[in-house]
Amino acid sequence: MKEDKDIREELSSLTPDFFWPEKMPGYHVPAGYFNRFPQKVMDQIHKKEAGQSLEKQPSKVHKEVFFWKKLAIAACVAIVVALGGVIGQHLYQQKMMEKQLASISNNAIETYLNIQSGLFDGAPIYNISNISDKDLKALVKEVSNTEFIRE
Amino acid sequence: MKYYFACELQTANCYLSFYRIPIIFMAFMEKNDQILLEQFRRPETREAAFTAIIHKYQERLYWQIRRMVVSHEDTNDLLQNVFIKIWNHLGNFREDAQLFTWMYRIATNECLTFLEKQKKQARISLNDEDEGLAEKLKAEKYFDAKKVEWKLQQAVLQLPEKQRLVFNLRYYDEMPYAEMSEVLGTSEGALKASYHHAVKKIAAIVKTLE
Repeated sequence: MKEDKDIREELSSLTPDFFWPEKMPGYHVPAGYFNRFPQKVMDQIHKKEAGQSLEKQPSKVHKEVFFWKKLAIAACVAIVVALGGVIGQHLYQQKMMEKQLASISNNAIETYLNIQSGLFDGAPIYNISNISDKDLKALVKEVSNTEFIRE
Repeated sequence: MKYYFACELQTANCYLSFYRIPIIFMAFMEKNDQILLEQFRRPETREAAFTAIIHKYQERLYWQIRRMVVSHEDTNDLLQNVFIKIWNHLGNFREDAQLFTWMYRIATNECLTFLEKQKKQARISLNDEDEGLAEKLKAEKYFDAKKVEWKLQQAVLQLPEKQRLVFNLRYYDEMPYAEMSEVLGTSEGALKASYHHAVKKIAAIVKTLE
């Protein structure tokens, strides 16, 4: 009551020549609205809480679908990881071999090939003038004595 | 017809229509907030206590929201949201503030968020938000542009939102500045200055409408 008096005094001191009307908002409210409103709110609360508990406890069918989905995703991930591993290893080995070959000098390769090459690979062997008559006769004799020639 | 109109106005004027409320709730309404809060914390009396809280405060909160958003439909939606929020958070309510002040604060934030959303929508559709509220006011069932109380409402709607809120809390709800300061989180001095500006602006606008 005191507050109301203070407010009226405040208003008249701020706007002395203005008439402040009755505090009638005049807004229309449907009849019985405030009687029905509490039940409406409680219904909303019940609905929301029921919705939340349903969300928290998914049905058995949902659970099963969710399990198979999870399994399929896990299998896909495992396949991708395994394939990745195999391909990765192959590429790594190839790379390592190339690296090792690159580190060997040309001279070392030539030396190796010379060692590994056969007796008849050398140029002097093909020069028939280097073979003595004695060696040549012995070779012909040896060849003509084989069974294959006789047959 | 005259009687019906009087009844409607009676509801509109925030008078509690005791003859309509079941007697069982009358007993609840007498209880103070402390008891209601204790009952709310006990699962077996939780719903009954909350229903009593709604009965006790619904009209005051309704009118606080209605004066800000004008339309009954918007007010109804917002008031429901407010009470659902209160239900969700009342368990954590610390009693260092008054229950009603806390509820008022929730309603105020809900209103301001709603008006902000409407403003954004109006900006997108190139409409004026204040025009929208003025149109809603003119669409009211008992609107009469000649009556001074409606002129006052038109003038109030031309104030900036926060000034409008301060004016409504002081003029209609007769709230002391100290309590308003708790609700709005603003100093008493700033609220007083805001209210004085609002009063002068409204008086000037009403004069132009005459």
